[in-house]
Amino acid sequence: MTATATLNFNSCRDKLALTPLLGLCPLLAVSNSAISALTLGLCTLSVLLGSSFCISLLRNRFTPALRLPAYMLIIASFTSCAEFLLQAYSYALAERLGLFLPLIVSNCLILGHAESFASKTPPLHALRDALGLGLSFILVLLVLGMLREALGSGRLFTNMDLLLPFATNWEFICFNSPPFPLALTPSGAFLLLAFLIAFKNYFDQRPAQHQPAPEPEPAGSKRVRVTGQV
Amino acid sequence: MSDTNNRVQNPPLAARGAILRLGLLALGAVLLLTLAYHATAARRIAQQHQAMLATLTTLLPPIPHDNVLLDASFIIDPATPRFAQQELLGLSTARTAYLARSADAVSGVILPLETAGYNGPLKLLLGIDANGTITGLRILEQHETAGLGARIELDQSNWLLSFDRRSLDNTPPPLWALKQDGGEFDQFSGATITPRAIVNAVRKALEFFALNRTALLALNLEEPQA
Ligand SMILES: Cc1cc2nc3c(=O)[nH]c(=O)nc-3n(C[C@H](O)[C@H](O)[C@H](O)COP(=O)(O)O)c2cc1C
Repeated sequence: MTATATLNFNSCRDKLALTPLLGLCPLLAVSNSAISALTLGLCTLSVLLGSSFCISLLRNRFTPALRLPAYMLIIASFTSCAEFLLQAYSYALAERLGLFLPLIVSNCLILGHAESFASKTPPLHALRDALGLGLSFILVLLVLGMLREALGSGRLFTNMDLLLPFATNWEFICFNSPPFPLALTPSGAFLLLAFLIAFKNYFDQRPAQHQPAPEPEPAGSKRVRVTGQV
Repeated sequence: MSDTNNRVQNPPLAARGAILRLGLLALGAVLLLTLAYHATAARRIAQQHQAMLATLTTLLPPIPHDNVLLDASFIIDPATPRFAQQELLGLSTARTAYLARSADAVSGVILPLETAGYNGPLKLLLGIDANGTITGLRILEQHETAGLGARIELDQSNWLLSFDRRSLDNTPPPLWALKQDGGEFDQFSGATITPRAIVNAVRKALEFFALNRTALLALNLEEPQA
């Protein structure tokens, strides 16, 4: 399971540049701490998994005209389920996310995945792809949330025990006075997101600049990976 | 004739299939949601109750309260005043207040209060012991700017704790103000409106308690209501 997840994670790396831009926008407001980011990421992942599986199961049942309403119905149902589950797990946590929990419905990442992938592949394959996408989504959201929390409030991992009962003493003070309070606002989130994307693009381009020659090797290894995935 | 008939009949047929499929899907969704709703109902309510209880308990650290707080509550409604100068609490809607009782005497109250912040109403809960000393202050609702006014939140600063153990006796009214206004409470750099509003609201709530102390402390004998 983990092996396939890593494989898929690799295949999703290409989408990562686009993922935050499309998928993170509705969530930027709430990802101002590690705990909120992680919780929202997990909820999104579960909605993504459930709806991908369902849509893939029913992929031959709906004509193109019916797809959009059917997908919205499925995604909305799973979002409500995720909301119920979170409220049952911890009311305080659900309160923190507030309106942004039901807003998962409007996350175009999920609809995009449904339309472009789940509607064309068998259920297990769709599940695997959803897992990879969801995990990379959590990763980006978590990094952003930790950056914002550390820079904006000077602390890190506050209230982490709401989600992870064993994480009671995780909070630590990074800065005595917050170095960049703007990070907690939505505009600060966009700024940090831009830095993250620039950072990623820099690292993506660097190997291309430094080693333009060894073409056959990466191509070969990539082919191995592709066959391994199917 | 038959031509037109076909043309009229075909689309409805296709539409009927579509409606049937969407209908079945909707039925499935309803089933799933009903199941999820009922399966989680008990735990959701318990969690909500527990979260509220946890908030209330932190409001009353030094008070011995041996009853269940949520069961000893009463409503303060701005529309039907039942206490002297109830407007000191600044409420715009009816809110719940709570009694802490030990050995059949009220040992403290948790009062709801409200004031205008920078971006909207600030709704707070203030714990006061029987002598009028603050035992805790918590925020129920705030819309202040993140990084500025929102730093009043306990997970971002300890500012709210600076109210603990204060009373009108140990902090006379002229000192119920921000340091920059000659008082004893810290402000935030770049955000003084929010803290100033809270300091004033808490002082007024203490004045309300002083005015109504006898009535509030006698409440438990009359009407502990749900
Ligand atoms: C977009 C924006 C949001 C603000 N949000 C708050 C806030 O939530 N709380 C607050 O006290 N001040 C806020 N301020 C700052 C106040 O306008 C004011 O400048 C500050 O409280 C300093 O007041 P002073 O002149 O009494 O020192 C905000 C300012 C701007 C421009």
